[in-house]
Amino acid sequence: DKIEDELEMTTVCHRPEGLEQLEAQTNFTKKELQVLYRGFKNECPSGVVNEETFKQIYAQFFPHGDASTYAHYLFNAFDTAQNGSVKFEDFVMALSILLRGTVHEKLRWTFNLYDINKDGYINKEEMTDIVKAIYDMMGKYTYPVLKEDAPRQHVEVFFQKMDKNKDGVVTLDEFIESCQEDDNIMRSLQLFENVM
Amino acid sequence: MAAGVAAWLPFARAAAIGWMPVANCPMPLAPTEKNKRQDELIILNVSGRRFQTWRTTLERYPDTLLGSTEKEFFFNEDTKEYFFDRDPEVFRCILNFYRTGKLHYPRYECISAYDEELAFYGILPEIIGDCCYEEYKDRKRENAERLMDDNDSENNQEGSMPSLSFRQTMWRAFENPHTSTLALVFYYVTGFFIAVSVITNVVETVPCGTVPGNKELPCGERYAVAFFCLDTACVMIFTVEYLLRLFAAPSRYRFIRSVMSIIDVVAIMPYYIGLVMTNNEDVSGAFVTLRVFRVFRIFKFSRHSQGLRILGYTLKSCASELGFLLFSLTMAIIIFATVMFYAEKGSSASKFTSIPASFWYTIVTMTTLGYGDMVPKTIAGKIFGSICSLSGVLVIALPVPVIVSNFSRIYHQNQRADKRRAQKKARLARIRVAKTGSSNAYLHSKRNGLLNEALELTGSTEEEQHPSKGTSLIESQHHHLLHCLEKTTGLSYLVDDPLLSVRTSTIKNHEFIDEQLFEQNCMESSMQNYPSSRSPSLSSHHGLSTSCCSRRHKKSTHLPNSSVPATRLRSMQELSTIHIQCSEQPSLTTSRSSLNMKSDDGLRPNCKAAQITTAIISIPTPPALTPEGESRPPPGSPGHATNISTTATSNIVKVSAL
Repeated sequence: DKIEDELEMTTVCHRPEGLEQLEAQTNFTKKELQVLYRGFKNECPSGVVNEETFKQIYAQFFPHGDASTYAHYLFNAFDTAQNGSVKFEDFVMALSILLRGTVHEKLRWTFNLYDINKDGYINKEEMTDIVKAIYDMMGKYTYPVLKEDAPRQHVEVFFQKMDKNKDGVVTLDEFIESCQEDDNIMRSLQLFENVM
Repeated sequence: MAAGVAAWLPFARAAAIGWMPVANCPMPLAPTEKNKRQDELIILNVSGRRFQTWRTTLERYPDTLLGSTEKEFFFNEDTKEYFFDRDPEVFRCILNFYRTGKLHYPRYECISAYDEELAFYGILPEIIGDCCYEEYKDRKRENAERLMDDNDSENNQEGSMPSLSFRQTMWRAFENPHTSTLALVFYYVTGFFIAVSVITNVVETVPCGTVPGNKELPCGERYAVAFFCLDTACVMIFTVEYLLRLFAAPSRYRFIRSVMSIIDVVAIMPYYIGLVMTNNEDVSGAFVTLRVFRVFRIFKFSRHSQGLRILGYTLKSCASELGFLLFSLTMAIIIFATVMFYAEKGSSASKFTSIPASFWYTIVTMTTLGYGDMVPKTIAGKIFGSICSLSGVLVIALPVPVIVSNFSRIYHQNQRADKRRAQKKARLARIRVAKTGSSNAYLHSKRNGLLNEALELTGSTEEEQHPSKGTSLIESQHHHLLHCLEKTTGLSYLVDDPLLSVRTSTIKNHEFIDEQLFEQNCMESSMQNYPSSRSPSLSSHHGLSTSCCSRRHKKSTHLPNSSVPATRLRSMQELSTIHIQCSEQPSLTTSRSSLNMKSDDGLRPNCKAAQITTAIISIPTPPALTPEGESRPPPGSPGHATNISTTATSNIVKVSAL
């Protein structure tokens, strides 16, 4: 009985607010929202994504590695209400920032992604976790072979660049400032402009 | 990548922004949508029933009829729809495959009609989803067997067979006696002799006639010679048959190991051993027991009887059930024997002298035989004896129907388990092939993608581009995503790719002497060329200063030994490789010199818009622009800017411009 009750609770259905409201709140046109919603509803007929489905979907793009850790952090970044499920509105808001937002907004979103415990600071442990998760996505068979301390070194480089006052944590302002100084990063942020 | 998930590709790509601040190396170019048009509804008219779907839905599978340009053959200009003169019922399943990514097999459909439709639409049956795959395979196998049976019976009726070798005809005659009259004769003769041999074995022991001394003599000893001759004849026939089978067997080793051949050998061995050992008196006892093995000749009948073979097989497959029955019986026997022994211990002249002696009583009672040679006398013994016989009925009568039903259940279950195991292997193999296929596609497109980037940089028109075959936009975007990940981490995917290794070995053989210089030239020239940085992987000056690439400058070793991140290394290698392969020049000096010249030419700023020939022509220095027929630069003329013909070998020009 308990299992059946749980099953009933999990098959909750959610419908997003109207198309006009979403169009007003995001930077997408109506047609783009339609295409996005159709894709969303196809994978998640119930209208919400839970973490398991999210991980499964993301893992399909990286067949060789283990994308679950990074997908977990992504999910937390998408799930602004921190209630374990991502509705279509959350999904579309985040996409709007990532694809159509200003540089400042994108960098703030990325900072939010890296800041795992959402305390406003990125410390070395959080960054190491993120970098390890990215390396996990590559899988085992890589060239050159992944060395044990490669993530740590990567994090060191990152902190050297980002941590202006060398206090061991990166704040939002330091992050935005450092990224704006780096042309590489600026360029790569524009990379996905034409994704839709 | 499943079709439905393709709709989430924009999300995955957007999420890649999370890697950007962490990345040390610059990111590759994103593929552009060349023909960006609005998604439109297309109408598919299948025998009058109209289906509508989005164009992008169909384009998810570009190597099928509906996903490729093949459907244009079916386009009806008047009604602006695609008309297919096929079955609309099956088309429903096929269209659902495009929508959901899963192909289902409806049970009411005929298997051959379904297969024909799949072949028409260019869909492989292996894609059928797991929910319907077993059913599909079962039906297909039944159909195939039926077809085979039909063919076989046809062949037999016609009597025309392809010419087999003598050995093969013999084997066929042995296995299938109905193929020819000779085989049939052989079959009956051997059967007759088996029967004769068994009967002689039996009759040998019948007492016939007496001998003075009032001793009954068995026939075997009275007519010893006659029986010996009969035995010899039978054994000769069996030996000849065994040797013929051994000669005709396609796999002699397997034949020797098979059960039937072991039975044959056991049947004829006693005779030969007897021949050898006649003179030795001591082992005559053993010789007598060997004669017992002659009874195994009766098992040779199993070649003649299909039913015996099936019985043997089912017993073998139900061995565990039978074993358990035997085990439980043994337990009951031991329990009751012990009880009866101790119950009858007190009575005098009891036959229950020990527990093993009581076994005999228990078995006889439990199987309700009741010989009466051992009977309990005490009251306790009688009580336990009756309990024993009652429980005997239960213990034996209950499992028998269970075993009978177990026979059929286990038989079918075994078959289904084997089927499932084979399908699981096939399924895993399919998944593995799909995974390696996608990664191979990624590496393949990466190679092509660099070529395409080069093509894009020179701003060539679309017609002159060489689009990689079968790479849809979604695929190229996915590959770009994986490429970005490689750049972020500084690693690259490694998949066994013999083609790639061949290319790298080409580099080693050619042994650029001043590789670093050459590459620096390339990089510098490209940097100055394209300040707008359309190709981050090549032109990044900043890339040189970051950690992963800065190591490049410090090392002065040859290409294969440097510890530069492989992607960058490979991109360089591939560029040079592309150049080498395109220009088909074995001589190193000319190519190198031409490359160096190209880098000089590349310094000219207006390479961006026009093709390279135009750029060269605009250079004032080159005295004689060789006509288009010439595809190699004249050797030893470093001052000249060579003009490589563009029309036929446009690849050379564009790549070397970098």
